[in-house]
Amino acid sequence: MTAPSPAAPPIVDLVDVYKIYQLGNTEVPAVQGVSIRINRGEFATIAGPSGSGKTTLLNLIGCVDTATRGDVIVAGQNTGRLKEKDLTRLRLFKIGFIFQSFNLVSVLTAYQNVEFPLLLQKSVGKAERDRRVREVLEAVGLGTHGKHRPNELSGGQRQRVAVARALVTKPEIVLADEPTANLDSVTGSQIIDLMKELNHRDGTTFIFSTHDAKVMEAADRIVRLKDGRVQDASAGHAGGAVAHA
Amino acid sequence: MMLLRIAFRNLWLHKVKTLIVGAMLFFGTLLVVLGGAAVSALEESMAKSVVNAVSGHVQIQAADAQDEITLFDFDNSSKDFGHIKDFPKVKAALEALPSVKTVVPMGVNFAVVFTGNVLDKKLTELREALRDGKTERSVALKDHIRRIVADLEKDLKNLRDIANMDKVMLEMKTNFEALAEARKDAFWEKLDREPESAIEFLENKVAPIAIGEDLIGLQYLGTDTARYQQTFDRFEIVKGTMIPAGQRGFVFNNRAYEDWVKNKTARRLDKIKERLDNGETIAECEDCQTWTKQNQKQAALLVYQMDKEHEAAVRSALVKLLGDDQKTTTELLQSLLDVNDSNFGERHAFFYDAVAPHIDLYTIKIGDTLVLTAYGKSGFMRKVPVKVYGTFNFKSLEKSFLAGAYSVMDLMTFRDLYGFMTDERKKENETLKAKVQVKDVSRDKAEDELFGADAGAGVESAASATFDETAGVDMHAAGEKYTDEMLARKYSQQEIDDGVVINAAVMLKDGVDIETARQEIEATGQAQNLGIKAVHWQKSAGLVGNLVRVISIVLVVAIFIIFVVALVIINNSLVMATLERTREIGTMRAIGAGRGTVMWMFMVESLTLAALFGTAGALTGATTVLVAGQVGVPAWSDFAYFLFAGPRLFPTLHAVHVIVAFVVIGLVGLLSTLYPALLATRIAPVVAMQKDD
Ligand SMILES: Nc1ncnc2c1ncn2[C@@H]1O[C@H](COP(=O)(O)OP(=O)(O)OP(=O)(O)O)[C@@H](O)[C@H]1O
Ligand SMILES: [Mg+2]
Repeated sequence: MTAPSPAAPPIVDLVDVYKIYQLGNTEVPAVQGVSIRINRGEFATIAGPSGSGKTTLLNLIGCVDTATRGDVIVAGQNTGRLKEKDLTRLRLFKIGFIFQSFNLVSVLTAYQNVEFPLLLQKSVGKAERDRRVREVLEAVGLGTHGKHRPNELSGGQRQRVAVARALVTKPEIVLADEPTANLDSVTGSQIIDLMKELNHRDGTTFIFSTHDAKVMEAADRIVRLKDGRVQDASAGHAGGAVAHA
Repeated sequence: MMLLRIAFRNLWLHKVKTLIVGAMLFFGTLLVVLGGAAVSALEESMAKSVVNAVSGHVQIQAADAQDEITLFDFDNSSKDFGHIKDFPKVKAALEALPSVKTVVPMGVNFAVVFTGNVLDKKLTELREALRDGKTERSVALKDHIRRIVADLEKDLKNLRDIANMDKVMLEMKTNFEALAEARKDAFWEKLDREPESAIEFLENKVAPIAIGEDLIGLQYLGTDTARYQQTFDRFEIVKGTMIPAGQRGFVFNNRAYEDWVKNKTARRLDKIKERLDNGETIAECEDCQTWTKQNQKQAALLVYQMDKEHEAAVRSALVKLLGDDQKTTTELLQSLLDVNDSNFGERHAFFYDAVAPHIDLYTIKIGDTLVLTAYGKSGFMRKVPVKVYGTFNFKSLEKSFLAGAYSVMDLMTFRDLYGFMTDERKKENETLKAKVQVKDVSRDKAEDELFGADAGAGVESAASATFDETAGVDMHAAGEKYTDEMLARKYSQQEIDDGVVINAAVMLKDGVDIETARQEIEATGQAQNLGIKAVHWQKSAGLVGNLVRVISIVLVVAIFIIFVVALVIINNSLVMATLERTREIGTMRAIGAGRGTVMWMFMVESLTLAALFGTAGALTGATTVLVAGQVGVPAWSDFAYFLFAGPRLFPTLHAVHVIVAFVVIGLVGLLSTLYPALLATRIAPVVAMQKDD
């Protein structure tokens, strides 16, 4: 892992971000005045009790949702100022997603699922695509399972496919919302180990949320949320990130 | 690519839904191709028969005519189709057009023929036999007539013996009551509601009162017979010969001849045979049973027609067949005519072998001179003698009612019956009459004779200056010499053309577009001041022409409904699919698929479905049409026979129908997907992050 240079701009920079849901007449503040920075190559986790705003925060970083107030800067772009089309492009080229319930396209094989984002990018040739899909499937340990469809794979294998799909585009940042919640603890930690390994190997930034204390231990850094506010953004044992409250 | 793969996998995964929707698209396309081929085949066959039998491609008539020409409307009596002013000029002008092949002058009208009863006929025959000195024949005839007289006396005696005067009066009273009842509007309204009991009433109470002459109604087409025969290739002589070129004459429509002129008993046997040939059985054919009963009831009429020798011959044959010599000839005939499925073939053959030669099989024979009676345009009854040369069919239309519509006569006779004459014709008539010292039937006398007390209407029409002064003429009464001379006369082409022509059929050259030519004809008419208008055959054929249009409208509506249903179902199932696939679509959006991609994903799925089943449907349809085009679709009923213009319909495959089918199905595919696809594009990427529950 390359040490983040303090001079390099953070990959994610949240400045006094609010997300307030409107439920009928009542306002539900999910995120309230959050400011965090996450540097390139970090392996960060967002922790907190249920309802504390973890998913909301990841959605904001992943550009699938927009903040009510404050700036969300991802890969140098202020997402609040981008149009829907550009947000889509940003997600396609810069961000990888791993979901709690895997979210594979059920009618496609593992290989095709992984290939999917590359096809969306349109710029990758067939041979290059094939090479990258195989490589990343190999990397997640599913080199021989390309032809399987999701319902022919175990939960852990499915999440590996999801990891491969998130990584195949070589994104700058991978977001994972409770990636282990639907897995048993052994498989869960295998997935975290895999993510960590890839983080080390390629220097890809990982941000994931979890309830699980054991999973948190793997992180370089833990951002603790409570009621939509950052409790403690202290560095984990690897350290490095700054939270400017 | 990927979207196609997803589409295929989705279609495959939801097999039941795919099959249901696919089946609808399949049948929709199939129907478009089959229906399209059927309608155009019907249109072609209908066009072929109507155009080549009567109407030609375009009908022309006077521009200022009150009513547009309708050839197959059976209530033409009240209409006025006008008349073309200078037919020779019109003919020359139109035949000069490059698209026109021939112009045939015409006119349609209605006349009646009184055929007379047996006694009348035998008396005529006797007169001729005596005149020609055929002694043997006259002896036989005298004997026959004496027998008829005896029968009449017997009938009358019976009446007197069984009835005192009160009874006769009572019967009269009953008869008058029956007639009065049948005159009431209410009775005919009742007939509409309960046909069976009303018809039975007419049969039992009214028909027996009728005596004497038999009346035949004839719809006819007056035309330049030689040209007509050359131009209309569906026209084909069945019996006898065509009217000699340039001469007066009449050819019966064979169907009308069979239906109205043939002996009723023989005709009914024919009709039963027709049904049996169609695969029906007497046991299951109600009409056949009715006809059989009528035949038995009227057996006496056959005997009435036979003289002693003929009756003896028929009787001995019947005794041999039935093995019973105690019964009278009438009773034997009744047993003969009591036909059923097991004996029909034998009885039918026997009737024609042993009975028919001894009766008048046709009340009017080929070679006879008919007296046609028509109400001319003047409103007066006009009687014109004309010689019957033969009968004809419209080829392969023998069974359709179209075929039964018209008999054909020459234009001269037509004009005489129609009652409108040009000055030249009038003059010519005068000379002819003077030559043979015709005794003019005065108008008053004609009125009294023909109209009785109801002459008012006739007087009014006669006042119209357009119609000639010889209205109400009875050419037949002019005497035999006049008749013979008139019937033998050969008219020149100029005489034929230069007279009243109501309408004319224009036959176009092959491959000419009818509507374009029609407009061209109208334009020519206007440019040269011909005073004509041109009517597309489909319009002039009236109901018949519209039939195809009605059928195609029904078809289009059916196809439309199928596709609307398909559209709704596809739409619904895709909306369901969209909801089911919310997370998947959200995920795709989250990992970077744009709205367009999502939209396409749905479109590709529907279009794939449409293409797959549409192709299958179109192929099946095309194959069916090709096979049917070779083998032909058999007509299953007389109506189908009429529609098909023959025993079989041979549809041809048109690329247009296949193309239309694909366009329609593609449109249905796209339209049905639009809404669900739009819904899908609105799915936010956030949904991918939501938890499972
Ligand atoms: N679409 C929404 N509309 C209204 N309120 C919402 C919506 N999404 C989340 N919230 C609310 O915002 C708050 C934060 O929710 P969020 O899902 O971010 O929490 P979380 O930390 O991810 O919880 P969990 O650990 O249960 O996943 C909660 O109070 C939740 O009810
Ligand atoms: Mg959550």
